[in-house]
Amino acid sequence: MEIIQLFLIIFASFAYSSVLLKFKKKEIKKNEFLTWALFWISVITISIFTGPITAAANIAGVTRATDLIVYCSIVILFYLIFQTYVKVEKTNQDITKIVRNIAILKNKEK
Amino acid sequence: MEKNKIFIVIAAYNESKKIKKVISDLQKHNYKNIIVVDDGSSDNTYDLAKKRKVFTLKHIINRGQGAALQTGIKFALKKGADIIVTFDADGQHKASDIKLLVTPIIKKEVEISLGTRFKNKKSNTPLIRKIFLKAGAFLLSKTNKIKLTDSHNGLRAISKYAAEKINIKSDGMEHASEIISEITKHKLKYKEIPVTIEYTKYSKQHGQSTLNAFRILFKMIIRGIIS
Repeated sequence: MEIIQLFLIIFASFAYSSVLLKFKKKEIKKNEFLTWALFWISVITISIFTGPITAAANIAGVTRATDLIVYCSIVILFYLIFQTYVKVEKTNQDITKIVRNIAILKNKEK
Repeated sequence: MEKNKIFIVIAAYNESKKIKKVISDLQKHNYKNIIVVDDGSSDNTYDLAKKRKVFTLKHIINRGQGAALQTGIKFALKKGADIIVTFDADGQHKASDIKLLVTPIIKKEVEISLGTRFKNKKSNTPLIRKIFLKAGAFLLSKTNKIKLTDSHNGLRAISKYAAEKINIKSDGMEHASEIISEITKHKLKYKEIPVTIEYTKYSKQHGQSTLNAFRILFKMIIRGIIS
């Protein structure tokens, strides 16, 4: 086993336990827990059994398995950034609604 | 129509140097229903406005001009407005132009009147801003299938019907583009009316930067995806 595999397994295990802890404390919903749990378990599995990912890399036309993982990670990261941006925008809209209602309500109180 | 049914909405953010004069100019023209929405100013804009005979609303935190205008419009509708005029707080709009904007609405020719600084030659628009605004008007015209000569002109009059249809979701300066999209979306009758924008050193400092246009475009795209 290579050092990078060992590092990934340790890191993913730590991340999984953190997700599990947050779920137990009811800080995240069941759906979120399942998504993240699946993600980190997949990382652990891929890190241990590198065969399938090497085969997938060959099919995708990428020379090394690591390259395939890096490419996929970039795509996933971009998606997550976009999703976060959308959520922040939505939150901003909600904050504005609250600020607006307070402004109008305070005028009524005068 | 009596002026009592016309409501002027002013979104003000740190405008303590100008707000008094802007309000008194409007009052001299006999506009009684003035709504000043203080958008979380850190200066005494709100207190200064409160001393005049106007409606004052305060955003507890700064949310942007679009958010403040929507607050004012919502409040005006609650107060029974028939026509709502959006007016800048930095003194670059002329109270005398309001009559020109509201007349086509009173005559029921249109549902929304948009001010344009490019149909008469009275505005002293700086060249760079002129290029940016013209480019904006071209883009908005193409994307919304609407004919415009000006973009991001804050002086406009909106009928009650149009105000009830238009919902400004953009907090910042991109609300001006959003209003144009709303006109197309709700098939509102509109007209551009020549108005005079008076650029002063003060208003240039307080206005939006040319680079802001890129941010506005990006936000409009994201908003399109969300909705």
